[in-house]
Amino acid sequence: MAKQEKEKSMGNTVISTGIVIDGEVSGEEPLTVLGTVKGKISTTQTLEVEPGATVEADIEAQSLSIGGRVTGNVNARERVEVRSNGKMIGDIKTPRIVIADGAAFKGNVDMDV
Amino acid sequence: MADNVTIIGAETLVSGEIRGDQNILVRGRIDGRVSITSTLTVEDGAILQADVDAEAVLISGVVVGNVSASGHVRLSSKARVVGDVTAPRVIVESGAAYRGRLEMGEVGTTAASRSASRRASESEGAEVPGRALPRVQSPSRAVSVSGSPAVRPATPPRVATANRPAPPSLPRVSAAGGDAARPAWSKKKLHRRR
Amino acid sequence: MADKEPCYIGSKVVVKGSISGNHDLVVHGRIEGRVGLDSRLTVEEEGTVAADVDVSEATVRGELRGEVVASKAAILHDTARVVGTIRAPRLVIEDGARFSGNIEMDVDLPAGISAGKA
Repeated sequence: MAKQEKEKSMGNTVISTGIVIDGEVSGEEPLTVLGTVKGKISTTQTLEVEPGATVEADIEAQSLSIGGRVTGNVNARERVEVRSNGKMIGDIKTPRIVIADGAAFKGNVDMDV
Repeated sequence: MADNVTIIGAETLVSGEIRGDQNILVRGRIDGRVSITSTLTVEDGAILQADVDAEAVLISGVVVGNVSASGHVRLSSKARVVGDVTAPRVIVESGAAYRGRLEMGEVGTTAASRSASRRASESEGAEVPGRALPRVQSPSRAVSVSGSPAVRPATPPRVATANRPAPPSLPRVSAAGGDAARPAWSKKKLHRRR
Repeated sequence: MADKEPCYIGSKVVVKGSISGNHDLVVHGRIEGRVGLDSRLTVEEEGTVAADVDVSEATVRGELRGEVVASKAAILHDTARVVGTIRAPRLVIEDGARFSGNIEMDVDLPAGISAGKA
């Protein structure tokens, strides 16, 4: 798992814990948020919102994994996973969704793609 | 964990403001503003169109914006910067391209140049030709000096004593000036060249 | 052609006026006015140049105040104290050098990026 994490963060974008971004983040590579993003996030690849992270933004991603707090509307082309420590408030549009036991979620899910 | 450094990857654009207290490494693009209490590193290939306020800013990429650092700013050989740079320490490596206002704060005179100015202004008071240029030897030098009667490299150095009456166009070095007014070297007996 | 010997301005010398030529100039004293050389200017640690400078290369270890144009390079060593403007294709500022003023170099920006300020 540690090796996987390391591989994930190689050549990726990592917004670390002490950082706040107020604006738009867009990219064509995996994105990991440990800090705070307010605004908009769009990536053609994976977005990880780690425990402790705060995202107040509309999100477009290939796939999304939520372990922190996300407030906003999500559009994921492949899948969304709300992990056990994740909190999601907003509407999700995605063909596949996993909401783990313990996760908090408030919003609509549209799986019709 | 790799979460002490924020990395803006090569394929990522951040449009807006980034604030925080951790180091940021930019390989991609930032449009907007970066305001951190730590170090911002802009790698070769990165493009910032942003104002930056940080403790230290290390630039190897393109920055268009005003950069301000409480510690230092370094422009490496690949840096291309347009904007004002304000920091107490700024280092520019050979190869860097920069256009803008560079402000390190007050630029005092060095102690060495202060004492040199003092020495120079002492001999300036005497303004006797020849004595002023101990090292200019050949009158056939291609370097020409114009505008100052005090300095004449075209003539062979003449050793003048304080007793010699100065030419009318030059201030007089008079013995009546008092010992205190005359520099120590003028009190020495010197050989007169015939 | 024989090597051109540098011209030295000694530490107890003040030159007020205009210096021109094609020999290297090494300043230990003081110059006020203008320096125009097809060669190099070196301002040594105890030297002071308060002048507009137009040279092939400017190497500064002392004090320089004025507009500096160097056709090849301007190099500020760690004891340099410079106030004014520098225009040169190559610039080196060592850690410790002090500068206040404007730097005018040509900066090639990537396509699509424009400099906000003139």
